[in-house]
Amino acid sequence: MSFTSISFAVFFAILITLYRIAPVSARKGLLLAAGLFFYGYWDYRFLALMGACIVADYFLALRIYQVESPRQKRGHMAASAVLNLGLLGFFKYYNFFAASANTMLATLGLHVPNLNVILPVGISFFTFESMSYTLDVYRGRLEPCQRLLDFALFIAFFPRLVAGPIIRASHFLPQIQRPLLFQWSSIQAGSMIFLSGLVKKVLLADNLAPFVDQVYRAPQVYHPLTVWLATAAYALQIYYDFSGYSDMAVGLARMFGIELPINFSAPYAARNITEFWRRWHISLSTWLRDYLYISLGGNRKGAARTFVNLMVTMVLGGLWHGANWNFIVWGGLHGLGLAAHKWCTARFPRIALPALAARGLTVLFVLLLWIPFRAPDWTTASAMFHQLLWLGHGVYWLYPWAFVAMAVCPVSGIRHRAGEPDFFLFSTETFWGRTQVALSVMSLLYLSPLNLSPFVYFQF
Amino acid sequence: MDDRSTGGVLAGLVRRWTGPIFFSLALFEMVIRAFVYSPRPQVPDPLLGQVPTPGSTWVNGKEGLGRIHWSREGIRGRDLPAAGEVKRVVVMGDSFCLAEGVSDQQTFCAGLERELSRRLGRDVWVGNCGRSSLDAADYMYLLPAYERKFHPDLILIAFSLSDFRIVDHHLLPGIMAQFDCDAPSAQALTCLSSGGTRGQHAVDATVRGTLGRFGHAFVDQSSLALYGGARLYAKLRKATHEARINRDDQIATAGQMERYLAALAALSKTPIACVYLRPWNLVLPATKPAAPATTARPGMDDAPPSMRGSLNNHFDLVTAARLQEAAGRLGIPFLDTGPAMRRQFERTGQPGAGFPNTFDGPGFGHLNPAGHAVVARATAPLLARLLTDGSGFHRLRVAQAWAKAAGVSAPAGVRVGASSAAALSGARRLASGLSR
Repeated sequence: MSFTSISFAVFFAILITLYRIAPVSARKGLLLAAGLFFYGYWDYRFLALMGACIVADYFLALRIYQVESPRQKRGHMAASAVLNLGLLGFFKYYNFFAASANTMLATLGLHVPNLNVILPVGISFFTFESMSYTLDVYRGRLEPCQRLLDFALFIAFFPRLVAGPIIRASHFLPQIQRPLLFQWSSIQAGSMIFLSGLVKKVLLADNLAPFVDQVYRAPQVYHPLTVWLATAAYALQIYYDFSGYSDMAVGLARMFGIELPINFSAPYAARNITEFWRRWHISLSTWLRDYLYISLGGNRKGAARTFVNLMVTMVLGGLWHGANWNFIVWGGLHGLGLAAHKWCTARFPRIALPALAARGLTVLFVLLLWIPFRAPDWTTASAMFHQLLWLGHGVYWLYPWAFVAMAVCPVSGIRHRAGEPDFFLFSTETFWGRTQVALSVMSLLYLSPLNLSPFVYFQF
Repeated sequence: MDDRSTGGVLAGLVRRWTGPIFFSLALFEMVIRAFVYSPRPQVPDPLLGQVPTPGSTWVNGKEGLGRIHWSREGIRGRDLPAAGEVKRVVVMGDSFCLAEGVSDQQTFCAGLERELSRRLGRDVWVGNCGRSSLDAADYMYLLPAYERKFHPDLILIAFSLSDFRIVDHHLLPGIMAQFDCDAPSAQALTCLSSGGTRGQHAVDATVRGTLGRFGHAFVDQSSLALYGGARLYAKLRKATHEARINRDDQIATAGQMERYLAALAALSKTPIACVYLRPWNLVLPATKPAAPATTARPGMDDAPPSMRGSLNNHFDLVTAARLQEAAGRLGIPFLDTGPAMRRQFERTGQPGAGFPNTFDGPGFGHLNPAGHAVVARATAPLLARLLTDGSGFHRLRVAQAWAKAAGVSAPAGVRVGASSAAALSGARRLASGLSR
């Protein structure tokens, strides 16, 4: 049940009506039931998986808090980590590692069985959230949640269930421990943010998707200019797709009076790669920073160790996106970029590029690294780079929507600074603001493709 | 709890949003009308059924950006000169011929008109009678009507891949049943209106009475209503029969084509010639390894499979080769534009089909301005010869003699004016088919 589907519209209409009429005390239960239904709608079999995760981490966190001995605390924490990482590893990476192992072991005549494991939707998100909760309790930063219902709602809150943002218990739980109110002002604010996401996803990302798909299918057929355009178009597609989803999630949550953390902050306005990661998929990058990079020692153990920590964090961050070598390479190259930027700023602290040049270089770097991320194989990626270097000829295709999206991106991003949300700001207070809203709705009705693409991040 | 009541909130919403919504509707109406899809007013014609309102201009920006001006006669291009020594050529075809994605001056018919006028040193009028959704069987109904309406010196039939697919529920009975005109096809309805209005007709047939009339008036005047209705229809329509060719035996055989062309010749009083519009689709790797199963693969080196079954160069080549064989046996002049299109592609690196503003892009779809120019240049020498040396009539007589000897005659039910009745019958059929 995607946010852009008719079935979701029906689901949401029923849910918000029930939420309006239900007594305040029943609203948490209602949201939990909605979350379970929403998740079960994809594949009810995986409800058991999520249920196991919820129950186990709820009790493990309580035990971590209750026991005195550090050894016992560590043991319970390890159990939680093994459970979450085990689930993630098995469902997400087994096929990949089995195939890789089989390639390496072929000469020895050994074979790892391929189980064709199906990836449960959203597993990368809810396992990280659940694990961060037990980690926070283990580190003494958070008291454990006393009610299973609250913890279950934290994991199964439907707006961010399948593709984030990755939320922290410390951020979410206090909000649901207050009475959940129904307020028209929240409905209005949330629906404007939801509309922002819808425009990004349906109007921009989905209109770019066919062009990108076609060029990535056979880049050697197309003219270098077209391949450059497709490279830029993919950068915009994945941004609008994922940030659109995040906006929708934030908007939906807001309608129920719950604030979710922002996930994007105009990432292509970043002046360097470090800043880019403070603006792109913020909930993941901060998770990796807090629970992985800092745990590894961060930058406290010298330059060499900082470099290693960065590389490990980014490679694992790449691997989080999917079980494939291209994600590992993508993460690794971003790690190198971050390390290079750290080294440059330490070595030449007084040299600063003009803002425009710095932004241009950062965007170019990010743009080129999206190629191995998107390409289905190395042959396609190398064909893309071959064309980008103007080494081939081909068919011109200057796709109009790519220019529209390129024009919208700086216009909408220019007024945002790192840390601010990059919603399209629709104001309903003025006539012009309401007209913008009406025009956006008309654009969705008349200019969106008839066949919508699935969200890119659903596969992660 | 919010202190406002639901009723109060709704009243506030109506008061605040009515103005912006109407303003946006007006703005969007203008934008859609100017760049995407204009209203498509039509009027009844005693010979041709519904035709575009003469003198009107339609816009189609869904594939390319064409502005289609309809002449006094309800066909595309300039008005038929009133009198004088003007040579008249009628070109019949489907959407490839009508060419909604290019401007009036860029269609191959317009190019042909310029080229023939230059070559013959006199005024030549080329009437673009292309209509979306037509196929070979429709030309049987329309040829006599156009003959009577325009008294042409030559009729050129521009075929394309969809004309001879026998997976199509329309063409198969037509050809196999010896042109049984007691059962005119449902396609006869849509052939009588121009492109993009199939959905409109379906809705017309379903929604009747005052509501239907109101709706009809609405879509005739409003781009938002017409385009929005068409999108809604496309979104809600269940996937029906896909007239997609996947095997060679889903294309009419050379023998079937021969009988068809012979019947067309028997029907005609005017010299006829045929051209096959072969666009040369781009060859891209398939996303799914579903190579089309072919029973024969002539010239596969020249026609590798493209990414889609329905846009497959191989099936295009098969159709063109069979048509060439059939026309050759009858002596009907025939030209396959494939070689010229390929030369253009090899020379410029750019395909003659497809537009940048579609999801498929250049290489897939209808002919673009470059493709139309190629077709015009390739076809002009043949038509110039037929118009000057009298061989057109000679060839027609040969074909008619052949048809007579072979016992092929014009379908008995085909007569001038039959199309309107066929349209009515087809409308009912289409409506009942859709409702099922």
